[in-house]
Amino acid sequence: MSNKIGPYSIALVSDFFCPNAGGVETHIYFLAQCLIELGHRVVVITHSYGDRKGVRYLSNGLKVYYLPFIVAYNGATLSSIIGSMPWLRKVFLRENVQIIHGHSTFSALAHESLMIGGLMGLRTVFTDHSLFGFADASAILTNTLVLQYSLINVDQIICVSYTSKENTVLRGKLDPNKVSTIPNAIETCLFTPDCNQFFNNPTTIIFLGRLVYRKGADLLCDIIPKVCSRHPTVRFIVGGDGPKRIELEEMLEKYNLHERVVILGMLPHNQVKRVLNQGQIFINTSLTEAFCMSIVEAASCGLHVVSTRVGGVPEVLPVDEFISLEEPVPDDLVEALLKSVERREKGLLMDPNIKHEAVSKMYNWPDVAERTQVIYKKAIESESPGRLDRLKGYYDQGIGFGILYIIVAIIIIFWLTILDMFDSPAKNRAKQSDKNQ
Amino acid sequence: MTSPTRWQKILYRKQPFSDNYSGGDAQFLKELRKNVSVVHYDYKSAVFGCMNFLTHLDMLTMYFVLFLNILHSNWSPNILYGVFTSTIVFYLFFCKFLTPNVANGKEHARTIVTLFLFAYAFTPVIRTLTTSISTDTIYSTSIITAILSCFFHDYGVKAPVVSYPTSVSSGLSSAIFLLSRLEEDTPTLLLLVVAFTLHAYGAEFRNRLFHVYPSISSILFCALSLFSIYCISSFSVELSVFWTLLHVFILFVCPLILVLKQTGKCTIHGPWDEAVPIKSVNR
Repeated sequence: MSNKIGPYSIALVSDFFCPNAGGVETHIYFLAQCLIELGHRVVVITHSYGDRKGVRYLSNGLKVYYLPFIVAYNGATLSSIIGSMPWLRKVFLRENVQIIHGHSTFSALAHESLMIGGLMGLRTVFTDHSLFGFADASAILTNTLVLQYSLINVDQIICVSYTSKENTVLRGKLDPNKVSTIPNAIETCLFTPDCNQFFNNPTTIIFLGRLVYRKGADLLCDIIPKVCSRHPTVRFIVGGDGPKRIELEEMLEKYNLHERVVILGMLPHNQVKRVLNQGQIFINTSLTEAFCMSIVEAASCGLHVVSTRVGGVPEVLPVDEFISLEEPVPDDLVEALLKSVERREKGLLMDPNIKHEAVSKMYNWPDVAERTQVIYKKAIESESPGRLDRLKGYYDQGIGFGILYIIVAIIIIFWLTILDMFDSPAKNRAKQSDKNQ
Repeated sequence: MTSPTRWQKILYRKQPFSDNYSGGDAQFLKELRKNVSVVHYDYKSAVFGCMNFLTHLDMLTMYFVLFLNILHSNWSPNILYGVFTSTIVFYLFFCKFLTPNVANGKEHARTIVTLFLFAYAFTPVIRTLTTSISTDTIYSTSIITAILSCFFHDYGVKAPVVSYPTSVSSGLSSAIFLLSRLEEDTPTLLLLVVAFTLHAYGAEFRNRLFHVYPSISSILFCALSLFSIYCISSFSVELSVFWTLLHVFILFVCPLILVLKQTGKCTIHGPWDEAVPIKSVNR
């Protein structure tokens, strides 16, 4: 990586961005920042959030387009095919974009811009942040109707873990060589350990996450009373809110554990470090997880992690030193927790400062950005398939919905041609270079 | 373990491979498993399952036949007393031979008395509830709700579509629509009781019977289907021929289609699947 790559002009597209908080949002924000530091030109395209419409500059100099699209379901926009096409085309031309980088399977805006951008002859990259099963109806629909067609014409694909890569390759019926694995990262300087509390606080187990089924809130309800009955002093701190909070509170009532379990409710992200610093052991009970940033955050704060062995979690941290893995069975997790508590009482857990240093070396955003720009280079260097080849790509995926996608693509090509006549791309680019001078 | 040339499925250490390498063919998708929880049925068990389904269809048909014969006074009302008594016999048979746990006599008696008193008290209301509606509408609605009830009925297979409340309420409404055509209260009450036992307790009784005595229930099924075909033929020969063909199709052709098609079953499992938390038993 000694020779310089780029600079490229990149558009990161997703429905999910600030002011929302979450894994994808953080990923885009830090990736954009580090790409700018590497000399690339980056804009973020997302849909409007309430009053937040139009072009904004974030404090790190990142330009964000909040486009006024209709939000249909779960924060994702409604794909209107030609409704959003002129907007996206104009932005791509104004910013002289070379690479479109879409994020998250759930984001309709990302899929739409990948399709339009691809037909405009731009290079496309897609990052998948989530795992899907193959059994339930919603997963089957997303896989066969959206992902398979959307990804067939994308130049390069990035996944956040090897498990996620296997999953995406199967779901999208892709060539594994087109798919790269670049893990998420965290801003480790925001998650520093506090040795004073680590050694002097009573043994405390922390849970942070939404209290929903997928995060294993039921397991948590099972585990807490068992651990409390087998160990006289250990404390729990539970941060996060969700529909399963009521069950958790009922459990506290039933076993009379109010003195030993603290439920904090919803936590803003800047409070996470403060809470993590109060404990020594972190429990993650997720039932499915592509990467799991929260266990990396916990490890960065010096905590020992006990987690379920699901999805990409086993790849994230070295087993035994940093993390204890168990199957999602309450009794096994209770055993693992008690063993960790014993290790902590005997002083066998790794020193939090050493752990923080180690995690900082494992995951950091500049490294992610450098690896991502290699993917961009590959995308730029690969030969872009022509419009006809793209149509054939849809056709090869199956005739039923292939026809639908082909019709949509033809409509887009038609309107692109018309728009090019009245608003020529060359003029847009000329305007841009004038401004730059 | 730290030999520099071997690729590992880990993210925390940088490996001397490019990012799109994931262990080559040997390692990639190593944990993929196929058809873990798929059930393959053989022809015989599929036919047996269809018998269970057809038994319910025949029972429903017999109810319609019984109703029509009573309505047109082809059969004497005494037959109703016979059918009513037979439900009691079936109940005792169920308690003695079929129920998996010991029957709680007191609880059962209370339920029976409550239900019977309610039925008795409300029979005049139920009988006159939809009298003003035309007979054609009543018949078609009754058939539609009966089919709906069959759709959600429990045939002993755990499926998401099975819903006891939907099945019972649509089955009962089908029966109640019919009852409005009757003139007198006593046959109405008896038919209501028969309909209620058929829809509310028929599923449990039949499923247990097919589970405990497979051979006897097969014979019973044959007798029942022949009898239903005979009874239908007294109304319409064409309909009874159609009914026979339907029996043959469901009993022999449908299982064949299932057995032929199930070779194409393919489900994919791997570490990305959502784990199912195992709840502890001693809560």
